[in-house]
Order: sequence, then C-alpha cells, then structure tokens
Amino acid sequence: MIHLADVVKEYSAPPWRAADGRVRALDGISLEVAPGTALGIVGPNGAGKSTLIRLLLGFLRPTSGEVRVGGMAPRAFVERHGIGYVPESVAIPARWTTRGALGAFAALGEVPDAHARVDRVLGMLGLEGLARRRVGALSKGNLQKLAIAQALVGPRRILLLDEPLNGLDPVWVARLRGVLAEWRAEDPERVLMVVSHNLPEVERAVDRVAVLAGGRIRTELDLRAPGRAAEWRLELAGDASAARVAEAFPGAVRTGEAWTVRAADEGEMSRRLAALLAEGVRVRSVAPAGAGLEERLHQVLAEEGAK
Amino acid sequence: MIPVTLRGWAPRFLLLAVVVWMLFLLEPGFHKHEAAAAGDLPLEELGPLGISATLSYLAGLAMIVFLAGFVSTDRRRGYAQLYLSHPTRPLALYGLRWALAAAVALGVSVLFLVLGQILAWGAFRGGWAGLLLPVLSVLVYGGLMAFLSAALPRGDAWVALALFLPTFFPQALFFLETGLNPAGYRLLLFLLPPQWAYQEVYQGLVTGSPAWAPAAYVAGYGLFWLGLGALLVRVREWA
Repeated sequence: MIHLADVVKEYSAPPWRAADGRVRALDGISLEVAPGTALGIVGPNGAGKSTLIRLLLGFLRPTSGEVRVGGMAPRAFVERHGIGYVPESVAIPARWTTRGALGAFAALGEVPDAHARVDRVLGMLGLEGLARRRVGALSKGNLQKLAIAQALVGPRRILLLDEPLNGLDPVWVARLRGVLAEWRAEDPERVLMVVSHNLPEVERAVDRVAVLAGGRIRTELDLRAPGRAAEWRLELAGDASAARVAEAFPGAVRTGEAWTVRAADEGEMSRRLAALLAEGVRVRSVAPAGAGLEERLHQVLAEEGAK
Repeated sequence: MIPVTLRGWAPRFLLLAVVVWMLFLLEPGFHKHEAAAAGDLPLEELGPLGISATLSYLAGLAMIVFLAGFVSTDRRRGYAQLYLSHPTRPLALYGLRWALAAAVALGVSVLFLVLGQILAWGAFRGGWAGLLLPVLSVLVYGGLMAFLSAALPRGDAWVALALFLPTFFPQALFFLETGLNPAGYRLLLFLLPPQWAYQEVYQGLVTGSPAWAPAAYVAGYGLFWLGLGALLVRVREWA
C-alpha cells in the first residue's frame, strides 16, 4: 500500500543554519507498509516523522527516491481517494461550526450520504453536544476530536495521525483506541500510521513500529511477533520459597525482588498462576517481561549514539 | 463547499457594501448633471455607459476583497493541509473560490448598474455594454490576486490594492514618472494594470466605437497572471 525507496528530503535553509544552504530532513528512508498494517512512527524531535507524513500526503516532494501510495504518486492518490489525516497542529477556520466544518470536509471528499456520516462521526467522537459551537470556541481537546472526526468522515483506506493524542484527556485517549480499532475492523485492508511520543499508546494501537532518528529508520520492531509475550515478570508478596515458584513455573529465574517466568500465552500463564496461588503464595503484580517500547527505543537510540 | 465559502465571506460582503456606497457617491453620472452643463465632463460620460468606469473599479475592488488571502491564508495557517487531504485538487478548490468571487463581483456590478440608475435617475436607461469593463477588471484583479496569493505568504490584498490605486488616482503615475528613469517607468507601466488600455476601451464604449485590441490586451494581462497563479498552486509544495 505504501512504498518508499531511498527517499531523501532536503529543505533550503539560511546559511547560519546550514553552511551549504540545505537541511536534510530525511536521509534515505526505505519502508514498505502492506495493506492491513498499523504502523507506529516514533523517534526524537526533529527526527523527520512529520516530514515523512507530509511526503505521503503529497504536500512535499522528495528530493530524491521514490514514494508510492496505492501504486500511485502520493498527490494523485490523495486527489482520487483521500487520506484521513490529523496534523500535529490542527487548523480549522475559527468561524466554522463543528457540524459545518465536518459538512465542508465531507463536501470536499464528496462523501455519499454526508449528513448521516457527519452525525455518525460526531457521535463517535462525543461531539454531538458541540455540533453548533464555533471552532474558535472549542477547547484544545475538542478541537483535536474534531480533527480526528474530519479524518474519519470519508471512507478512507489510509489514516495518518500525527500526534493524535494532543490535548485529549485520559478517558478519550482510551476511547480513541476503541475508535481506531473499530475503524480498522471495518476493513482489514486499511492502513493506520501513527506518529506519537506517547509510546505506551503507540504500543497498544499498532502492530509494527519504525524508529526514526536523524532522518533515518534506525530499526523496525514487530510488536506482535510470536514469543514476545512468553516472558512475564512476577512480584510476590512475602517470602515465597523458590521451590514453590519453580514447581509452578519450571525454569523461573529470580532477578532481584522479582521472578522472570515463562508461559506460552495468557491461558497457560493463568493456569500456572492459579497453581501458585493454590500453594498459598500471594502475588503483588504480574506483567509481560519483554522490554517495553520506551525501553527498546532508548536502547536503539543509545546503540546508534555509540556507533 | 459553495455555501460554506459564502457564509465565510459575510464580513467581506459588509466591506463591499461600504465600497458600493462610496462608489455610488463618487459616480459623476449619478450626481453631476450640472457639471456637464458647465463643461467639466463630456455629456456622454454622464450617461449609462459612463457608469462603466465606476463598474470597473467596483469589480476590481470586489475581486481584491473576496480573494484576499484565498490561497496564502490557507497555506500560512495550515487550513490547506486538511482541505487537501480530502479527495480534491488544489486547482479545483481554489478555482471554485475564484469563480465564485468573479460571479459575485459581476453580480454586484450588474446590481450597481441597474439599481444605481433607478436610485439616481428614477429609471433604468440601459448601458449593458458597459459591463465589458468590469469583466476585464475581474480578469485583471482576479489574475493578480491569484498570482499574489499563491506567491506571497501574506499581504496579497495590500499589494493588489497598491497596484489598484494608481488606476483610481492617475496623478500617482505622474509622480512615479518624474521619480524614475524612462526605462524603469516603462517597465512599471508594463507590470501595472494597463490603465491606458482601460481608458481606450472606456472611450470606445462611450463614443460607440468598440476598442477590441486594447480590450484583448487587458484580458491577456489578467489571464497571464491568472495562469501564473494557477501554475504556482499546481506546482508549489503545501507544507
């Protein structure tokens, strides 16, 4: 669905910023995103994440390399099919009303049955009560919801979200997860790309993560790879005997105050945990032991820095 | 998209109403019949076709008012990024706004021609041929606005207004002529809206002998800038 081959993007810059008058935002990016993929793009500020998104929308042209979306040049794809897009800084004319804005975006996209579709996305994002409010009077969180609603108003095959959680409260961060899961479930071919600094949410929303730094993809992580959930970290209350833990979890390893244990899946983990509890052992916490995205991101960036 | 655009133009309609009122007061044909008798103005310039000069100013100002920032503001504030993520072509989006502004400018010119005469003279006495000048103004100032708004990040309407003013106050050109070397002055005249050609078209209208060559020159001037603006909208990056 999305194909980038050795893409370089340079901007012109004043001489005090770059001696040769050029700043390289992307430095040879190659990426394949198959239909049905949910991809996270993470990395430090200035890594080139937003530039990558704008290339996919055809707002920017690569200095060199090839960008194809759905087998077409990005601008041609967007002009024909549209791409659901939430920019990092949301800008919608302040005089428009919430409903008027969605109506206008639906009209731009020639969305069939636009009125019903606008009602639906207003409901999905909890904006029904604000339908007649002017955009300029919306809170930051509600403006962000409106931006997400406009991205969902048309029947799009690709959704590009650049910091979609900006300004959202924790309740809506969790609800958005459901909205995106529902959007993906409607058509298994749909592609979701999320740029965010909120790594725990990225980890929940996507299958794959590309780590971008200095305009290059440093690594790609498959978050749904088999075996990733095989290790668990177990914290016990009181002084449980090593023999009891080893009986319930053969091969358990003690690491400081906690235990690292293995179970193929949640079902096996539950069964073994039940056996341990039956022995009278009290459990304080249990969590997947595989390194979290944040930890892995730091690891990748540290390795890159050391090179 | 048309109703949304028109609703968004509400403050601009108010501004245009002020312009219309000002031009109604300034139009000699509506108020200076005595002046003709005194020989200040040729009699034919006070008739229905004489109004065409004012119609031309009105249409030009209307295009500046309605197209102020029509590309540049979208680009600068980031509105364009959301618009253009939906299945639409930049040329179609901005072309529609341009066409809408042209339709409003010409519609207001027609209303001014008809209602102005009825208000001033108590009856409509014709002068439809005089609409040629506002059509040319729509092309000239619409073309300039298309180019300026696509090329500049802000201030497009102020630049267009600065180009318009010498046509409204021809004395300004005299001062420019005295302050520039002849080559610079000729270049300036070439770049500025072709007031000399407007004047020939106007004289042709009021004397009943149409001046098609100057009219074509004026139209070509407007279409040149319009084409350049369209090209910029097509090829420039949007972020």
